[in-house]
Amino acid sequence: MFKKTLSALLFSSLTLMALETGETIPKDIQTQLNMEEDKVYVLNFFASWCKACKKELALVNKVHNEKITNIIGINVDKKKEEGEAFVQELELQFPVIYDEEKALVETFSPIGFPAVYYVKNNKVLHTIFGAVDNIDEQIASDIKEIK
Amino acid sequence: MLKLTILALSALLFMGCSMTKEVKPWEKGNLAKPIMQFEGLHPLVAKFDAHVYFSKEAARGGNGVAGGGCGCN
Amino acid sequence: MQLKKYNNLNSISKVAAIAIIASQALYAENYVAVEYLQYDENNNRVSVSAPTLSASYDIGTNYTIKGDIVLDAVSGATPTWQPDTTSGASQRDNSGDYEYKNQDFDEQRTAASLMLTTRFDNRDELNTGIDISRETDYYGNTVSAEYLHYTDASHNRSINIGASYSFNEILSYDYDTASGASTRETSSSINVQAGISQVLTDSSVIKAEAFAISDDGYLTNPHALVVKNYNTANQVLTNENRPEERMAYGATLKYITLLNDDISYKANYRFYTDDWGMNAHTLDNDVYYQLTKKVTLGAGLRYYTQTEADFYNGSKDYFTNEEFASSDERLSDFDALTYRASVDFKQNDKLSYNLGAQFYSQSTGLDATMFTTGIKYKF
Repeated sequence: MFKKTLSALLFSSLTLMALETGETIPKDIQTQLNMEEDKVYVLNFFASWCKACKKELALVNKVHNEKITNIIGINVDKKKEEGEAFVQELELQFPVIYDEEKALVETFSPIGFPAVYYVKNNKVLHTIFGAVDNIDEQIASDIKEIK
Repeated sequence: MLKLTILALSALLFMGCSMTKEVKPWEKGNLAKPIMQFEGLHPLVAKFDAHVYFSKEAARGGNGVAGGGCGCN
Repeated sequence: MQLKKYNNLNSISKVAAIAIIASQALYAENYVAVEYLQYDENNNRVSVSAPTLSASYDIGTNYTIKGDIVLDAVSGATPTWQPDTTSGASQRDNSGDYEYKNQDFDEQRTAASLMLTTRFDNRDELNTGIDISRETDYYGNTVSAEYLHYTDASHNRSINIGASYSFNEILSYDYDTASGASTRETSSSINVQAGISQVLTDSSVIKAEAFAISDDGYLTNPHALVVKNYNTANQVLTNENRPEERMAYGATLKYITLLNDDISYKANYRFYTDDWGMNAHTLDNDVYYQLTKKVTLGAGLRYYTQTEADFYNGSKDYFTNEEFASSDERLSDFDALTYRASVDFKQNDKLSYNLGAQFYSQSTGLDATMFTTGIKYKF
């Protein structure tokens, strides 16, 4: 009973609009992301003020450099300049979309930050919310499973 | 007194439900700022302050359960 | 098939990994910091030099360990009733007069604390801590635990409950015996606390807590003396005596908000009451102004007021044969103000410095200044 109430409380607000596993990304957002067919993409939502994101991004960059999968970073800073400075500071090599209007992040509506979405043919395959130790190894093993 | 406190706390809990607008994870940039932390910018100084107040004033408590007393007279 | 498998994985990961930044408490970073504090009271009463070393380290995303150690060198004096030697009376001679003046002392204190934060799969937190304090005439040990639970997925509301237990040893000095023999006394304290924190908007948070503290044992100030039966044949200067139990309740209300992009305001109110007849109110305000990316200024104002304990009296001609009696100013009716200012300078992402000054003034006549300077290295 307690568990039920707890999980109801926990998930009540996020089930409303969030993009869930198995769901297809809306057309207008697909255009923005412009992903190639039949390829697996990792979408990584981050912000410069998020300490956990900073820790993870260095490892995500490694995943990109080792060509394990395609990475698209989505920066949600209020000001684009802040996001750009952050990307420069961390020397991120993968493409980054600056979501100043919050259209992307509000569509996906992740329940935690940093947020990772595995996407293929515009369909969400899997998500990771919050900081994870060794995200590079996690992504590598997840990609292996998906392929 | 205790009853009153509990009443006030539960009132706040329910007010919290109706008064607030849900802040999403990606909207927490302001709340993550160092100047927006309850423990302040100088936790070590705050700890020393608490130590001074503990030894110069009679009231105690309210700063978390951690931290010991002292024989400072 | 693969998709199905990932659906399962997803439901697990949703529970397993929830926002790390969403929490206020999760502003964890690895660091080593040194802070030097210099505290001085007026009339050369007490001077304290205290270098402090602290460090925090994240072990993965689930654990943070934090510790600090402080070395106090205290020198000065504590005010209490003493024989008025100028009137011709010698020490421990109860035939002369008395004066309320400073009694000298020197002390070293070493205090250390260690705190472990454990984060669970739903991102709830458990803080367990240990604090020890060693002085020549005082040993204090505290263990504490506090649990924090988020009640919503976005981590906008949390409830916390905590408790601590302290066990202290105090060396008391018996003034009545000519040798000034000391005895080892003990006291213990239980502190329980519960609260709720609510994110109100994207730039304000409110937090309310209630606490109860139960003290038991030797709660007397071993250095404080009182005059009894003044100006009678039984006139005597003797140790003060306080009840062996003290039950206190209180509540705090904290609020923090961003006034504009660079200025934050924090208010903290505390109410305190205990069965010694003391009531106290504390109102603490802080403003931080991020002047540039590198420089942050801070200013604070704290107001404190308390009523006196039932067994307190500051005069030498008041007490007769009361069981409980104290002339310790700390139990008197007074109020106090603290003004403080600080500057933080961030050299780069890793290195920062801070400077601070505080001025504390009690209506009892006690004034104190405190200067702090520190350096912090993040890694």
